[in-house]
Amino acid sequence: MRQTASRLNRTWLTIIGALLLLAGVAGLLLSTGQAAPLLGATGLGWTPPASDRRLFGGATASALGLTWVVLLITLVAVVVGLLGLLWLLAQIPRANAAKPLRLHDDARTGLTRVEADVLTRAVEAQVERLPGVSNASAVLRGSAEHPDLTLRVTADDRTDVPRLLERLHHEVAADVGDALDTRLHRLGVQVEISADKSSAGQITV
Amino acid sequence: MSRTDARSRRLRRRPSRTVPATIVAVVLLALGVLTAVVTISRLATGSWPTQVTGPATTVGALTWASSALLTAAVVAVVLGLVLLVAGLKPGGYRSTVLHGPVGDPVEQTDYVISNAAVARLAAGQADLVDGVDKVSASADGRRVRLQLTTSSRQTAEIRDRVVRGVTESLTATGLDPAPRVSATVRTKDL
Repeated sequence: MRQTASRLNRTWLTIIGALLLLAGVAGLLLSTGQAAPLLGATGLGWTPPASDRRLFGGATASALGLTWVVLLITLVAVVVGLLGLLWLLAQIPRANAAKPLRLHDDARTGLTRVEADVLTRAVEAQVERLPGVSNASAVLRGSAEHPDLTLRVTADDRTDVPRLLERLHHEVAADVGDALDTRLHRLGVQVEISADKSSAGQITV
Repeated sequence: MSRTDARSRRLRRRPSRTVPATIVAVVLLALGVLTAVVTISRLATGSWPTQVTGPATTVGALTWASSALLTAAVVAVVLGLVLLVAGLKPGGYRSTVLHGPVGDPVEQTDYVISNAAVARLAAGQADLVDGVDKVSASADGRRVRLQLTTSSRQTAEIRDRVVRGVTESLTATGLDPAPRVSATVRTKDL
């Protein structure tokens, strides 16, 4: 139902993972003294620091004394922090519901707008009246011409699921289409089964 | 790092790796904020804060062959591999496709049932079988595993009836593909 940042997460996890792996392998090669023979064999012409040299020498200390270097580090830190914050905010699951649907969008003849949640509340109430259904939530996405309806329906474990889908398809989706005066572009249904056991149609002797 | 997902996507999805992404995002945010605070303090006062100079001197005094650097490199390799696996491994689906009605009045349909719901359906069906005292179920999209408890000695018969009943029930529900059902039976001591 709600959408998460799957592609974003996977892309950045892969990039950061690859960078960390490369940095770790480089650190291992430098630390064990294997970097010099490897680089010598490739003929890149760069000699890595010897393994007995200090990590940061005088050059690093003097560079950190320069104001422009500190400014550059500040800028990089702010960018990294902002990227981290944006990535963190992207983890919040979002419904991404449709903006108010414009049923008539010609200003000369009159504008008609309908809020998506007005429709979804009606849909939820209709679905919750179906046999076996204990809870329903709906999200309407897309536009008035191409509406996408996604439903999450919780039913009990004795519900006839194929029959429930039939009714959602032929009654609920049809009613939404009628309300918007169009054909529903897409109907998505996620079925959940409630943890409570149904006692409907059951007798204990 | 923005999202462009203001449209419907398939309901049957793989894990979105929210936990590792949240941890790395928090680390990046903390790293950026702490570094910015330290460098802004350096720009404002003209000297590095004492909380930084001590650790920086210690790190600066390390040699490339030091065990601390070796440990840090190993940690970076392990973390890198973990993040790479999290980013590249698809992971299992959390739901199964359901057969359902297509065509008018809808152009496209997408019906799914969550793995937890499949397990509850299976447990509910198994609970109807005579002889079953207690049942628990788990489902992963391809298999449904039932753990049955019975006070009867006819364990093989009960298992067969439960497996047959649950398989028929899940097939009739329209799961695509229909999961393989297996059951283990534990006899309750009387």
